[in-house]
Amino acid sequence: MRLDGLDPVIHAPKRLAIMSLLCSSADADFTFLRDQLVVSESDLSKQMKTLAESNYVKIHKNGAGRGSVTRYSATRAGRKALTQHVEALRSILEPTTGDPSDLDDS
Amino acid sequence: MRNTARSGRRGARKLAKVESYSYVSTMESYDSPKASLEAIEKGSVMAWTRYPPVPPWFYPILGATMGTLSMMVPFGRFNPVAAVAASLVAAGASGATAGSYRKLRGQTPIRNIPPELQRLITAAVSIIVIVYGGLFVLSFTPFWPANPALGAILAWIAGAPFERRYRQAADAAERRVGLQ
Repeated sequence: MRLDGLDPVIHAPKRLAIMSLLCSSADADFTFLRDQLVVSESDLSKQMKTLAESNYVKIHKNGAGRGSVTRYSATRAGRKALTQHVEALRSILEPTTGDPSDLDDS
Repeated sequence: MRNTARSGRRGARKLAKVESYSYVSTMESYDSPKASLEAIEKGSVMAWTRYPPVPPWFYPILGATMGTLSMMVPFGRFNPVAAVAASLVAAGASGATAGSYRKLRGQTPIRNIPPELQRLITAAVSIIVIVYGGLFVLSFTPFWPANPALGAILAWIAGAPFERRYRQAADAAERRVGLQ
């Protein structure tokens, strides 16, 4: 079983859902993500901060006060990370083709 | 958790109600790679299938814009200044319409089209190109001033069946990935 390539930042279910949605969109606003993923505002803010710190999402803020809109978009690094994560997950699911006797050498 | 313990049972009940998730697991990670891949596909499909009803003004305005832009050659010969002004207004209206719909929808899907929607979107783009070509050809006839109105009417007529088919395909995509 090959575990390298699994990204700990996006392996968590909420961040995985956010990244998969953002990687299919040009961008998404805070309200859409909160309502569709059914997460609390504080939780979503925390998850987005983690993703932004890893440079996987970019935050765009328009306006100020009550009418302000916060939008998020996946960065190139974020899309690449999700692609690699998917490849790693698929490689785990693929049946092993090597000779099982190789494992006895160690 | 610390806050919940301090605020007592009433606070805990309130927090539990807020933190109820739909398909997103509350675990630290999925317990199998297959579950992770299924969650990724659900998120990807949601970008294309979760949207509010399209406002009634959306298609007619886009159609009128398309009709206005298609008649720029004869309009430019007739009155160059008015043609430039009309094209700027049409481009502005198109941008404002797209921007308003983007704000209403909350996000703009652009990648990973679900297979259920691919044929419909390809057909819609093909029809738009054909209609625009038709309007462009029509602009070389004496009827060219009617292009904006014709574009608006055609888009208004085509909008309803497109939305109905899109919703059916979106529902099929959601059923496939287990969102419904």
